[in-house]
Formats: sequence, C-alpha cells, structure tokens
Amino acid sequence: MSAKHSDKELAAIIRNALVPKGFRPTSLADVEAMLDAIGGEEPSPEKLARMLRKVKGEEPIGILQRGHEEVIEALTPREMDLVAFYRSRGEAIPPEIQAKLDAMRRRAAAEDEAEDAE
Amino acid sequence: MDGPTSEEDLQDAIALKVFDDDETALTDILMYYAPRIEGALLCVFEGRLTAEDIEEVVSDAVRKFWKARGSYDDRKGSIRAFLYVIAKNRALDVLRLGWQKARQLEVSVEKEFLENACVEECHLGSVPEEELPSEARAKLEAAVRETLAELPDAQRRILEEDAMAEGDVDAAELGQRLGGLPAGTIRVYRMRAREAFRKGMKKRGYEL
Repeated sequence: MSAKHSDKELAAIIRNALVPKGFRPTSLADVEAMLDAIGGEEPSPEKLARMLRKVKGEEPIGILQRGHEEVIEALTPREMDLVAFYRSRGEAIPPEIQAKLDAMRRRAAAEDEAEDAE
Repeated sequence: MDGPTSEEDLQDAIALKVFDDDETALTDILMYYAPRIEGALLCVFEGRLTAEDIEEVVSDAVRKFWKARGSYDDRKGSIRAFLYVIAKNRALDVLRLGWQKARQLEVSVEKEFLENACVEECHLGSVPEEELPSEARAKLEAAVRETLAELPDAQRRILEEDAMAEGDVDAAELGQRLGGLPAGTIRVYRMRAREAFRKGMKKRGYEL
C-alpha cells in the first residue's frame, strides 16, 4: 500500500475496519447473501400497522427528535382528530403528538417575534 | 399470506402482487423483507442510527419503491435487494445531513430507482477491497483501529462518522452531534484528524 490514498479511500479503509465484512456488500448478489444470512423476526402487529401507515403516507416519516434538531410537521387529519378527542375528554395528548404541537407553537412564536422585530 | 412454501415462492408471490399493483404486497414486504433489512442496517450502523431511525428509513424505502414499482425489472435483482439499497442510501442521507435536511432532499424516486438498478456498485457505496490475503487484511484493520484509538476523541469521531456516512458529514450537523462545536471547528479538526491518522498509519508501516 504505497500509493497516496484520497480522503474517500481513507474513509473506505476506516469503514472496512469498523463494519464486519459480511455487512459490506458490493453487489446485489452480496446483498442477497447478507439478507439470507441475517434472518429476522416478524414485526409485531403494532409495528406493522405503524410502518404501513408511514408507507401509505398516512403518518409522516422523519419526525424523530435527533439532538438539537426537530422536524416540524403539520398534524395529519387523524392526529387533529385525536387532539380534539383527547381534549374533549380532558385527557393528556399522546407525547408524540404533543411534541409536534409544541414545535408548531415554538415556530409560530418565533415567526411572531420576527414579524414584531420588522 | 397462504401458499408459498419456500423463500423463492414467497419472493415470486410478492413480485407478482407488485406487478399487479396489489397493495397487499406492502404488508407482505413489511412482514417478510423489512425485518431482514432492518437487521442488516442495524449491524452496519450500530451506535449511529437507532432502531427507530432504521424503522423510518425502511418505511421510507418501501414507500419509494412502491411509488416507482413501474420501473422495477425483476431480471436486475430481487425486490428485497433493491429495498436494501434504497434504505441504505436513505440512512446515509440521514447520517450525512440529519433527518431535517435529509427530508428536504429533492430526489426523483424513479430516477434514483433506475440508477440503483443500473449502477448497483456505485449506489451500494462500497469501494471494492484491495485483494489482500485475510491475514494481511486483519492486520491492516487492527492498525486502523489502533490508530483511531490514539486520536483525540473529537477527531476520531469525525473520521468515524465520515467513514460510516460514506462521505463528509455536514459540518454543522456533525458539530451538534459532538456537543455543539462550530462548523468551522469541525472543518479544522477534520483536516487535522486526517493528517494525524495518516501519520499514525505510517508509523505502523502503511503509507496512506
């Protein structure tokens, strides 16, 4: 290994040291072999239903909180119905929906402040 | 799903549903393919993406596949293999940019899918390994791990995150992951980390 390696090649060398060989497919045939070997349990009915909603666009994808950032989404019609339902019964809103509501409030407050500053 | 008795039968049955635009294929895909794809991605991105993240990227991959199903050609590969490629590329987007920016990426689903089908090695993102005997490869990998361990924590993390993302991670995003470091600092650290890594490897007999 005497040639000067590019930064990309350097990264590949590091990656090869971090990821087990069986998980570094370079062709679709390798992918097939990896998936054959890995197995996996069938998802729970709840998880299956949740993923199906995401796949069909009935639930947004990528709303997870990742450290500093939050992806602000509008509520889906189903979530709005749920908010109305829980409020009418005086019950707590599910945390996932509450987080989105909070983010929407913060965004609205920031926009108001920006408008006031102008 | 009744009928299929082998993995091959199962894959054929799901492919037929996809060709027929039968939406029940989505349930089959999530039931039979998603767990294996999630399992593989969890191994690849261990410690970098959570199980929840992986569920999101796999859901997104299935959604994209379904939208582009008209372009699917079963002679080029199985549905599950393509789903893995799409999901892995989505996971890389999230690693490089974070969820927020990854969601804003405007990518033509059909174009991406066709490219995956035609240029599979490129889109798998793997650089073919040098033909090293397994003993030499193990020695090289051990040297890499030792060298990384000698670097200051932030520099090591930058090199590892870039390597796993198969490209430079957005400096602002990476700065946040490293406890709020400014993007400029990340760029400087990245340069220093690469220099220090090359120096450390040289000490071990590898000229990078």
